[in-house]
Amino acid sequence: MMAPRPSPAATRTPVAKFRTGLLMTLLLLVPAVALAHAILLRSYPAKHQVIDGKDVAFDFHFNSRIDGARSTLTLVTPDGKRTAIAPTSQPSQDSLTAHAANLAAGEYTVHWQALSSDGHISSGDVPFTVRRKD
Amino acid sequence: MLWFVQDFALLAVILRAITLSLQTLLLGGILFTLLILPAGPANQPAWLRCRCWIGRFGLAMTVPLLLSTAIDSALLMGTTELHLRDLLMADYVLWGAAAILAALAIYVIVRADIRSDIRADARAGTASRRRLHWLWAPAAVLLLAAVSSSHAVSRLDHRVPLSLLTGLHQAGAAAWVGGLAFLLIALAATKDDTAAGILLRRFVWIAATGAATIITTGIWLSLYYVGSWPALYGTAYGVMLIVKATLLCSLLLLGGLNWALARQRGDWAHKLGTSALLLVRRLAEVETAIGFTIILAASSLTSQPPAIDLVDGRLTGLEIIQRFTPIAPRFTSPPVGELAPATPLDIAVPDYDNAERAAAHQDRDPDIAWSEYSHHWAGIILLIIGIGALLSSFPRLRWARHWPLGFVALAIFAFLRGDPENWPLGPISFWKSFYDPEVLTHRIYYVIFLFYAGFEWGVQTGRLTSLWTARVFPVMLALGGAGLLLHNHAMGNEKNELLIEISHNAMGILAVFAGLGRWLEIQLPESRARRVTAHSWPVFLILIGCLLMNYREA
Repeated sequence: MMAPRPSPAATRTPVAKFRTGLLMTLLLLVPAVALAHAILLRSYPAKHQVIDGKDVAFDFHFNSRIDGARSTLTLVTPDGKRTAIAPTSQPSQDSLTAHAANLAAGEYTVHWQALSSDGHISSGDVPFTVRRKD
Repeated sequence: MLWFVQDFALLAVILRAITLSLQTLLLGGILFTLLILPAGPANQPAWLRCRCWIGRFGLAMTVPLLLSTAIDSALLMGTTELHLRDLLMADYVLWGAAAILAALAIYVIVRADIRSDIRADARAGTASRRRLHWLWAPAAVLLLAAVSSSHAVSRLDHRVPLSLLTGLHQAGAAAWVGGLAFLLIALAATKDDTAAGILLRRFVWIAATGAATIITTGIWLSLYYVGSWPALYGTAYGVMLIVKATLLCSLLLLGGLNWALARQRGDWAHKLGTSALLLVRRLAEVETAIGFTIILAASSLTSQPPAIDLVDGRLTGLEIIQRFTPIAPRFTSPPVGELAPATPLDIAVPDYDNAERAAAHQDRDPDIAWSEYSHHWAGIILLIIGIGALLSSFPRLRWARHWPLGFVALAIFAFLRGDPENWPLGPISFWKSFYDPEVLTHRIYYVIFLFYAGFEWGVQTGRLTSLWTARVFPVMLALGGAGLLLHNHAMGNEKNELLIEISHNAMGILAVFAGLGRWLEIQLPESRARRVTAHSWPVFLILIGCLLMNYREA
């Protein structure tokens, strides 16, 4: 299973947690909540997978129904450029697929954002490596 | 953009909580007014008041509905290349619009009814009752819209039965919790003791039906969304479900007590006059507050993926036992110089997405030691405050009534330890520290905190005598506890986050109980029930202190 994007809390130091925790104990709160339903169950490429070849057929499967027309996949290239990759089809209600061709060798990340059928938005990253053999 | 998104996500959850609360009030109000409130002149003032509140809640509900639809759309447009026209036919927009129209329709029907009454003659009551039955249609639309934003509709299988169970669950909550709020509104307008007694006896049946519906549907939904014991205690969803169940148990206890009192009310009224009715009303106030805390927890639950979907990385029973096995508090703190330097914003924002770097950053020993030391001392101060509050409830130990000053010590301690990079411990000067919005927010909280601790000290020492000043402390305590249930939910199964969340949730529940206990104490007339309450609620503060003293981050 792919790990979802860390919650905001995951990036906070213990000192920051103490600040927030104690303030809450002091009864006035600074809540920080992860708003999410859809989580990524499996994907191709998997997280940190190494792919041989220049073409990649992306296949993302979620735990719930996804609004395919309003969910996105964004490819972050080795030089940091972000390109939206249009989902080609939605073979099932819980998946997103897309295709990218002629990728240069290097480390890439796919940033996914899913709008689930109940109206909640979630997102995450899948880093992978392209190794060209030709 | 990430900060923007994070803030909007938080706002969306708060709006969800407000929407769910208003929906409960609206549906419960319609059920109570049309099914429970008897016709007749003795109930006419209650009828008029309930009708007005239904209209107000209907109008109020359009605001969070509108805002949450707008925020979801802004989030999507801000993070993708979608335009507004692309979103117009999205399910959440269509159901959001339906809910807004339904809430508006409720307001319009009530307003039209009030205008007709003004023009009509003395038979207006009966005519009005007939006209208000139109409210059932928008109420049904509201419920459908609420189900459409629940987990049920996004599941791949069993969508219809799950949606049905969710709808029944929310209708049960409306009948009980929303109905309770309207019972209080009606009782406040009913001067006649006999009419009040009849009202109570009629209400207990709908409350009991609502409770039975909540429990039955809740068990079925839990079986589907959680599915196993390890998923219950090992995931964020399961932990929030335990919070909800705990609060529900306390609500059932109070509801049962009120049931017994309402059934005996005839005898009680004969023996004790209005005091029994007063006790029922006060208990109903507390019941209502716990009911809305459960709704808050429920709205928090809807932002979590169901436990059954999170298979990897669950907490184990052993990990929970290890974390919560009592240990001696830390009495030594690392020097401030050993702490990780505050991360500048331009580095923190890109870092936000990097789990590995974040994990490495948060696992530093000096930072953990600093935080645990701070929590443990805060716990010791709170323990002393709780013991002081308990002692002051005994007439011979009134010297202990200065216990609220302990909160001043706690605020000063938080000021010193909470932002160590700033004056007086860190290099950033006192005035420059205000440039950081987070530090500024903390400082505002400290001042507000001192303000209401001061209120309670004034009340305890007899300097402030009005009832509203006495209400400040319990209300803030209960609100703070309820808010604690909303914060920091680990979206996946970050174990350490979840372990911290468990302790925060426990403190949240205890704070709600402490606040409501103090509320009961000040609201009840001198009686055995009041004395028992006065001795009881400080125990919850003591327990929070004990939890903080055992707080660990690794």
